[in-house]
Amino acid sequence: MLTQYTVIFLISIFLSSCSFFGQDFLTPRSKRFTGERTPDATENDRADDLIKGNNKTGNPQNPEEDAFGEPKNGETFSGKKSIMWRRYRSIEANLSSALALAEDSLCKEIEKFSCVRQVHLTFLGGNDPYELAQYRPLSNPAILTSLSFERVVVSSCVKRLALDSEGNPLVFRGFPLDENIPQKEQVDFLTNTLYQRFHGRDAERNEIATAIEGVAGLTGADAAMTLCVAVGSHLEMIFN
Amino acid sequence: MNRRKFIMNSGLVGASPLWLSKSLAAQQAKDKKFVFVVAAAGGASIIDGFLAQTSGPAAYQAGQLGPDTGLPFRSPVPLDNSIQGVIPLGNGYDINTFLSKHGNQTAVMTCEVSSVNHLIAAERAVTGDNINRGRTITEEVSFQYSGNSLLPNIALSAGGYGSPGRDITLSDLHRPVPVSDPLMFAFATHGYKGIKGGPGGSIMERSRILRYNLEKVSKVGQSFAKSDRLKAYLHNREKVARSIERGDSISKLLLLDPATNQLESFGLKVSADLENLFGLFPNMAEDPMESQTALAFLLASSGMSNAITFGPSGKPVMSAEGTPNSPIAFDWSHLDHRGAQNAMWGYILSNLDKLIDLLKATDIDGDPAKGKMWDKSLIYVATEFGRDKVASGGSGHHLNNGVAIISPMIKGGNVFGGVKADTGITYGFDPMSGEPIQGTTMNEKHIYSAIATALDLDFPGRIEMACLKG
Repeated sequence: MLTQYTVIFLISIFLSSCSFFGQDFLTPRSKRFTGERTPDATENDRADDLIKGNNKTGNPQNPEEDAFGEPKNGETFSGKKSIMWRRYRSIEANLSSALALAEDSLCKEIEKFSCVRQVHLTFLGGNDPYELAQYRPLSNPAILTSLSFERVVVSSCVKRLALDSEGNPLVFRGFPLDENIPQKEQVDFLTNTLYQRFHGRDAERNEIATAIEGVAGLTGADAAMTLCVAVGSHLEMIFN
Repeated sequence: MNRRKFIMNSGLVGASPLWLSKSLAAQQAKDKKFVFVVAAAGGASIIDGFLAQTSGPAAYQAGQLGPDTGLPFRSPVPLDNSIQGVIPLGNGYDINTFLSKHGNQTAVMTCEVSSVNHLIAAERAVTGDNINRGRTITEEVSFQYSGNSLLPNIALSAGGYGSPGRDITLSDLHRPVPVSDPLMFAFATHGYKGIKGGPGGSIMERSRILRYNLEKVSKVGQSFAKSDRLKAYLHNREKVARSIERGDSISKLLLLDPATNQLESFGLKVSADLENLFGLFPNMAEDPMESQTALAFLLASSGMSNAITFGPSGKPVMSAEGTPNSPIAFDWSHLDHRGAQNAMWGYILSNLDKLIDLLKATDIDGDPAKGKMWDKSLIYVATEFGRDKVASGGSGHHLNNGVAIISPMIKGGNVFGGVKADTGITYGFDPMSGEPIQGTTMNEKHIYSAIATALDLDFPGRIEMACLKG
């Protein structure tokens, strides 16, 4: 019995001396001499946080993201779950270029107040720190973002269609902007044009087929509006 | 498990799908309550509002105070305020008028807060220094009492008061929706109405169906189908936004003058309440506080929202007569303590006076069986901090202060705590009885808990503050 206690006592003396003299005898020799350290618990937690994205300063609006909008699950922006919200300046520039309209003429509520820079600013991802003390923009689209965005697109489409209907069309070329029913080839061509202008790519065959089916039976004017709104307010315009 | 325990344990509800939050909300429809947080930005000093002193270094002169009404409040009358002696300041509203009408439903709670940084202090004023998992008081009221409101929590004012809280488990539905322009917020509730020459409902429906079908075959849509951000956007677009649009909120909430803006030519209509609102808030077009107060009422009375934050602009509303509000709101006290406090208290309370009258006259959800809105409303005049107590000209930030709460659900006509006349510093009170106790102070957590107690809001860690509950 006494011997057992003596052995335990001696082992504890040895273990405490290991740390008492500042020597790390328990770390494997290979690690001691390569400068590699055994991480303590805190460091392990931090490493887990980096890998799993469990940082404590997360984005309050989206528990899946950290404070910088990066996904917490460790996937990068090239991963399948991560997508960027394009905010008001990007939307404005893209719409302006797609529909060949000046930025300040895209959309004005009751033809007076800028949709993008004033009325719908916060829902389109902007903020006004000076007048409204909004020091931070929304980190994610709000419930009403889709409606605000739709208004901007609809208004812009109305303007471009009105201009193109007057003759020498810039966007809706080779398309009947009247009561005539467009041919399938015309819908095909316009769909591809709109994809190129709004999304910077050609439309896929199945997208063109979907568009042809989607505007079947509509007059040229209605089909043009339908295509413009559908392609212009597509999720690829607001996310990338 | 009773309802209290269910709610207390329902961190999972916040993180749950929208339908679960909605079903819980629907279950509580009969319990709908409203909270209006007034962002008294810049440091609304309670000893220049409801607890004016008659002696000591912070005292007002006898002629500057209103009559003793028998209530424990004492307030200055409108003073001869100006900006640098040039621009008349204030709207002439007498705080004593407010007290004569609503004093028996007004309470003051003294406090000493933990920050004199505007943004931090404002956030702490609405989160109770994060006592409730980081939820703001509007988020909690939205979460527990929004019924079937589609946009329960609206932030018309910002600067920390309208910021979302830090509880990451709370559903987006209950987070504050920030508004840029109260006069035209209504436009954001409809995708196409009011656009001259725009498509009608049937073409928009065709466009939306086509868009949906194009997105289904889109490689981007398929590749990012698991993105929570994208899923939330599509859910809100296809479900929530559609419901809001169908409710014709654009007509119910539009605050533009139909005549001068020729709204009819855009196919737009306005609320039947608008004429009355224009009468009550005649400067709505120029004055953001007036337009915010009017929209706050419309949002609540239309059933759209039940937790609304609003407040004065930091920009003076200039006219030939002067300005009703000081530049940078209460923070103008740095240059002119008495002028800023006197003008801003009068400015805020004149708007609240009208809001309360409207709420008293309006049925909840337009249903007489549910009672008047005011019976289920609470107004919290939130502020960041107090100001220096001895002001000869300007004054600086001071932790010591008090806040005003107005509601029929509280023990109104009371001051909880007191003021030491020789310093102008407030002291605290017993949380249960409300008896003043010199040498104690209450903080943001007490204020939040007292409001929560008055509203029957349960959460883990709530300090029992029975003194305020009516």
